[in-house]
Amino acid sequence: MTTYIIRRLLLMIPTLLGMTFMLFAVVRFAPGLTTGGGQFSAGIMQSRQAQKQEQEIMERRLHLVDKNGHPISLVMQYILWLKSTCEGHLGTSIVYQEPVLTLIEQRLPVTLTINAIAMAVIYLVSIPGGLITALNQGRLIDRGYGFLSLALYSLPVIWLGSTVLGFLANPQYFNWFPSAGLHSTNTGNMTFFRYIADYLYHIVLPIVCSVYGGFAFLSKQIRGSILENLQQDYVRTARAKGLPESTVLMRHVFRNSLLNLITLTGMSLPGLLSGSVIIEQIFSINGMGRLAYTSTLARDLPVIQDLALVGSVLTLLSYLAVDICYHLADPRVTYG
Amino acid sequence: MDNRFTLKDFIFAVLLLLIIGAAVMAMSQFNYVNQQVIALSNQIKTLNEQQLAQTQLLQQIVQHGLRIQSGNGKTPSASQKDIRETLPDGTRYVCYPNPPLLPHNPYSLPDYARGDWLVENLGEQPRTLAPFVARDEGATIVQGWVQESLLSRDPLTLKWEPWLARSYRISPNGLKITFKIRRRACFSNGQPVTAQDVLFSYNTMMNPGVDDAPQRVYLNDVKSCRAVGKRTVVFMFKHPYFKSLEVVGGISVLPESVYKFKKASEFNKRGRLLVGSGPYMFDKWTGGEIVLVRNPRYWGPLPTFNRIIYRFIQNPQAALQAFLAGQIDTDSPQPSQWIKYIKQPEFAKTHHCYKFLTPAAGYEFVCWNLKKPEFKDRLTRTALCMLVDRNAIIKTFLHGLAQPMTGPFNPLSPQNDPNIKSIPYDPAKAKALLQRAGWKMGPDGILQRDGKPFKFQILLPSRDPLIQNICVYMKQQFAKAGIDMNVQPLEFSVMIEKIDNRQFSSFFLGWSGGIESDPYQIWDSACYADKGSNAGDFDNAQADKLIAEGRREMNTAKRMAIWHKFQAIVYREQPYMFLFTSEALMFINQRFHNTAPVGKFGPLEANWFVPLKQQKYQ
Repeated sequence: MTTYIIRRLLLMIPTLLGMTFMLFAVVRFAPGLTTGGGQFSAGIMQSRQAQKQEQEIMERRLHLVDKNGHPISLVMQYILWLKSTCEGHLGTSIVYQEPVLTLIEQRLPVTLTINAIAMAVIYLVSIPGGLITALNQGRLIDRGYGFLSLALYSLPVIWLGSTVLGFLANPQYFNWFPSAGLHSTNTGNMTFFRYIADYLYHIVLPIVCSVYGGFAFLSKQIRGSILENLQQDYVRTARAKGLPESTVLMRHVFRNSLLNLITLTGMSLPGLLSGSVIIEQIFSINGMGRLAYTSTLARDLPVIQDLALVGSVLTLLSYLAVDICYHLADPRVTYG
Repeated sequence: MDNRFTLKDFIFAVLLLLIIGAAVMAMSQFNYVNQQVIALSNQIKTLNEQQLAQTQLLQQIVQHGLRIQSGNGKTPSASQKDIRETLPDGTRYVCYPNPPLLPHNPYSLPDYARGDWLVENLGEQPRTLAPFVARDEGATIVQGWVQESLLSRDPLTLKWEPWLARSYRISPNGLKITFKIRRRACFSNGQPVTAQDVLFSYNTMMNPGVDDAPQRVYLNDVKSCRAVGKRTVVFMFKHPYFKSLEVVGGISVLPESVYKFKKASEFNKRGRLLVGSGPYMFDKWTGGEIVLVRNPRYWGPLPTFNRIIYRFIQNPQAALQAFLAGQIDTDSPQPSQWIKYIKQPEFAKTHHCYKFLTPAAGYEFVCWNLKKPEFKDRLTRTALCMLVDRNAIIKTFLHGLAQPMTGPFNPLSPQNDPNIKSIPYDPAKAKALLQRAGWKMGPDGILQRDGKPFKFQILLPSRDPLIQNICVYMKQQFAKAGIDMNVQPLEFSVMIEKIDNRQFSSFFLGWSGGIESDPYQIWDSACYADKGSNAGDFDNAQADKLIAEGRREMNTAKRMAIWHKFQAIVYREQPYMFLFTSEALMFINQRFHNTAPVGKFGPLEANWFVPLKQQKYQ
């Protein structure tokens, strides 16, 4: 196993190199100028001299020119970027004037909390949902749950988000939830429990919009997996040796069916770190999604490159973690 | 398989329960401590309030004797004589012994009370709050409460008046401006504002490593800045320039002791350091809000609100709902929202609703590429303008909440000549003009000149549905006259790249405004080359001459006459299709008093207050 892990880690190096090259090429060859903070927000142009000076600073920062102002070749630019990234310098945002790492530090907790809660809710609903529908295959509850979850899956989040915001956070209809942000304004006067309650109250609508589309996929996966396992020989053997049905289901079928979840969970781990642009926009949440979106529009190259790079590394690590977990969970899986 | 519940399981369960119990107890204990801390901080706040009241009383006694307490309603500045004179040698001298109070200031109103919070929405979160480096509108608003400059603009007269400076003196040739700083002006850390701080601020702006290129270009005409003694600053200029007073008097004065730096990059990266001499101090910037607290050491009249909080709600619908629910105190609604709510009598009665045009508002336009053969003659450009009913655009797409533009100057700015009237919507006359310009109807229903059909593309930012709708309307109007306009929405950065590289026939964009803007950047023929802002290549020798004259002219009346002549040339040539300037819209919570617009700037928050009984936040 150790050899396998070392081999996988070593294999990640060329994969990562390929990824960085692709990233660099896509970002550099995309059309459009880095428009800077002011221009982007106000939708106006700057004076000629200001533009020139900004351009010069940007070119230096992006390694487009050397100290004397001479242009650097694309290959050299790529090597310089790779070198500084390997040294742990993730670059500084042109628009925000802050290191990309600081920007991630500011926004990641917000996105991570919402996504983690949303993920927990999806699992808490989908696992029992999948189990119940599998055990009641073909019955009304199975068809009803399937129909409902697919119907929810089909609703566009932009429509549902605007609708719940317009009706459930509107003093003219139902003023049940706040319409924006993650906290009230006077949190300084709140006790610890009140603060937590205030936070939970604020994230109800964003969480609702994050989870409703996730039920269908996970439930269907678990349902399919349970049905598949129910037809296995070991289930027949367990029943034949007289084990109670609940033990057969929970100890054998359900446990084995959860193996599929390892892959699903592993693949969704990188997604935990990237926020939904639409949800963050509708509910005015400053998370990772908005950061990526605004940076792309403003052509903030260091942020775009580094966010994509962090995402790529996390994806590779997640796949490795999935393989290791498979081995730990299922002794039949071995890696030579 | 062993399914029994063994001792091992029991011990494990007990341990788990113990851990959960301990966690709950720890949280309760934390909650209790938290309650105590809040109670304690409330007591400290009360003490601070009392201290503030004492400070205020002392200030009144020191500055104005007992006159204010007797309640005669006169403003403090009326007690000492302000000087505004032109000396025999031509030197202009302005001296305000006391800083000018805002018109309609609330201090003498019977129900005036300090306290409460003002919670507003900034929309987009500022990228940085670093002085000079920040460019978003939101950052400028926040900085405006914390940092001050030597001069401030009077909302009634629109003139620059002494603020941190007690007086200023402009030499007859306009090449030397001398400021004297007020003796009692101090920063929030208690240190006095000195000439050295002004010099430091100027040097910081001029440092090429500091990321403030857009602002630095305005100081290019400054030859030198000197600190003479502790409170006198002298700026020398290379040429006379009509904005000299504004560009140096408007520099935010930073405390050198706080902001000094070795490398310019250090300064650029201090996005959360904001210290100044203003009425409020920067307290914190969390993910969801920026909090400003009252500066207890403020050298001017003590500000009204205990706190000013800025939230970041980008979605206009969410912002309006947050306003209706009382989560924010003001809202800038969309035109459609304004129309919907203003019609409801109950809403109009229970909220302050204001719409106003400010002289600093920008405008929307269509720029023609005058290098393209189809736009080279002014008859065609005028005809295009006549084909578009701008009043219909304003009425239909903007619900009547805008005003048509006649030229590059805001209708409220003294630069604008009110005698110049908007080009009328007249399709018949437009067709006649097109015929005079040599356009003839082709067999395919498209106009032709020299064998080439009248077809062109208009670039526009893809994120703005309003602009897209207007362009579709214009396309229909042009099609009726036999002109084929292809609407091409582009992402903003791509669009700017195309404009810079002059790869366009026409584009739709907006310029930000200024009370008195310098036409050089957009209209001088020298600004076409090198990706300049005169993207359409407007090249008129007479206009260039007038721009040069106007920039050198220090006499306001004479300069305005020059700008009016310049505007007439632009009107005649029609290098842009000038469209409209939008009105500002504002809803304000009813608990705020004295919110009426002041002069041409709309409602000024510094004038607002909440009577004691209606205060919401303690």
